[in-house]
Amino acid sequence: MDGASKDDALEVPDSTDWLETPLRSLAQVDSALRCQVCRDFYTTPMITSCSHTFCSLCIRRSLNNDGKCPACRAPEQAMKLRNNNAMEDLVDAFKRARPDVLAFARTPTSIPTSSASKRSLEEVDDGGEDMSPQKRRRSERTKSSSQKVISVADSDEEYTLDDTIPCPICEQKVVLAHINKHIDDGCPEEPRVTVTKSLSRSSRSTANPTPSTEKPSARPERLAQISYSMIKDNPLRKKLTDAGLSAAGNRQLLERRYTEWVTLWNANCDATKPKSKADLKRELDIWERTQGGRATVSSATQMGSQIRNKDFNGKGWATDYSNDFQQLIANARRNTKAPSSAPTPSEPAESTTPDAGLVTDTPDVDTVMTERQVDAPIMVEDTPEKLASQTRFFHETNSEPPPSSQYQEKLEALEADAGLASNIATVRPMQP
Amino acid sequence: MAFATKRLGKELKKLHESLPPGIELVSAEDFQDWLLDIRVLDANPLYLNQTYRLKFKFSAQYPIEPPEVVFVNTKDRPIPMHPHIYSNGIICLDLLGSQGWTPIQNVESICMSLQSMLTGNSKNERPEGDQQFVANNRRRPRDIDFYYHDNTV
Repeated sequence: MDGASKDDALEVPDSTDWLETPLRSLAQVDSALRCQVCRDFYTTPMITSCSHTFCSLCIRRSLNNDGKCPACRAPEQAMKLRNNNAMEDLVDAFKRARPDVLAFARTPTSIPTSSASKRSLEEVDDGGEDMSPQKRRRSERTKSSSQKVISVADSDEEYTLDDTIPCPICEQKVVLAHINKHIDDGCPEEPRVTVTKSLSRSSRSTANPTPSTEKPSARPERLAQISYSMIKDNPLRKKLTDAGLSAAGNRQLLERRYTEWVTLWNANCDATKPKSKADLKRELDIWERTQGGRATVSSATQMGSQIRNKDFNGKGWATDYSNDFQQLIANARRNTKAPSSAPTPSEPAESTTPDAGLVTDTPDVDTVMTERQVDAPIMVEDTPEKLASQTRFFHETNSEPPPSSQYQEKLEALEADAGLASNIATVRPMQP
Repeated sequence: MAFATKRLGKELKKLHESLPPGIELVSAEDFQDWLLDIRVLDANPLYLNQTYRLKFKFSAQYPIEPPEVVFVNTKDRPIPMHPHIYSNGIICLDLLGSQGWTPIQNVESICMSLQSMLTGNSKNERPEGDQQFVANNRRRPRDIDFYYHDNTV
């Protein structure tokens, strides 16, 4: 995580914003309008059958994981979720008011006390001015739209382009400006206007007649989560390709990718203003980068968790890295031998009998090493020359079937139990 | 921004602003590993005047998946003595396993749970089979199948 993204995250508004203002009690209001899973304001709030509310995406992801309500752990199914429209309206309203109220609350002199100076009173007035036009505007809007609704009922002549009329074909209420497009498109559903009956909703959509033009067609249909135990690799790949997604990666990644896609898709179906498929694909792309196939885990973490995984293939690991292990072992052996070099030099030669042509070098190497040790008892530097001789030496000593007897036992143990290698990684995180 | 990062950002902000008594943020340089210190607030003789260090490790699935939480042993931060805390710092608490975890838990609530887990304990002992577990365990805490039997903590 780079510094920039961290800073971004820290600037995200939070309920604690209120704590340093005189309006501390609003922190609770702020917090009550946030999803307990993502700690953000509810996005498309959904209510569970146990009456807890979460963002659509949060609860769907959570249910994918364990099928329980995060708040009370009651069993829950995604298909039982229902939109919590009142909460959505509340969140929308609060989000719109929040910056102004917060700015007002943060004005240091905003508490109108009797001791306040004239100047601070003026400031308070200014703050008040900031608020009131908006308030007035909004109340005007509400008033005018409610008048409009009444006038629609009264007489047919007073339609404006922003008004809704029943479609002559399907009898849905359609914004007049879009009626021709609506009929041309074969009467697609107009969710904002038809589904919601509350005055505030319909007035909002008439005051702001964008949804029907933004949306290419009817609401998308929900996808069913598939039972992965019932589907083979190729049909699953096909499902991904049909959805326009990547079918790369192993089986587990395919399943996770499809699950995430269905979750994103279905959460989008709940939304009042569904996003385009391209937007959803971008979101899946973010998922792919952070948790999917392209997740960039720092190599150390990845290596550690790879080894610590209980399905870790110890044998395979031992085979793949046997050369490295043997080199390390031999290095260690050199170092331990260095102080008491006398009894050892002949030992590798004894064990390396099969290939005489190669083995002949070994004693020389050892002699070289011993000489070096005499010169410099503490082996610090690996000169290129020495390194080369070491490598050669290890290749020779270790390529034979019977390795040096002294280490055979240890090598076997290493091969049998990859845990030896992982020990270091396992212990590290707990005792840094 | 990944949702784990976003949520942790909010938690971190809150931790910087206000912390319950006995909990201290030691380091949170990134959104993967955090260190926090906790101490118990009452006069439980087992933990009197001691501070313990917790290490949190978050996956990209946080908070859908629980963080990995262990006590770490440093010079002046021992591993607390408790029948559900192994001497390598691994904690047996259902809250931290996938069964007991719920996404509405957070770093602060985990710390408070651990505080109360220590406060309520009177046994100066390690879990059964501690030596063997510590010697043999190579799994990550989240992969261990704990058997949660004790409902008193």
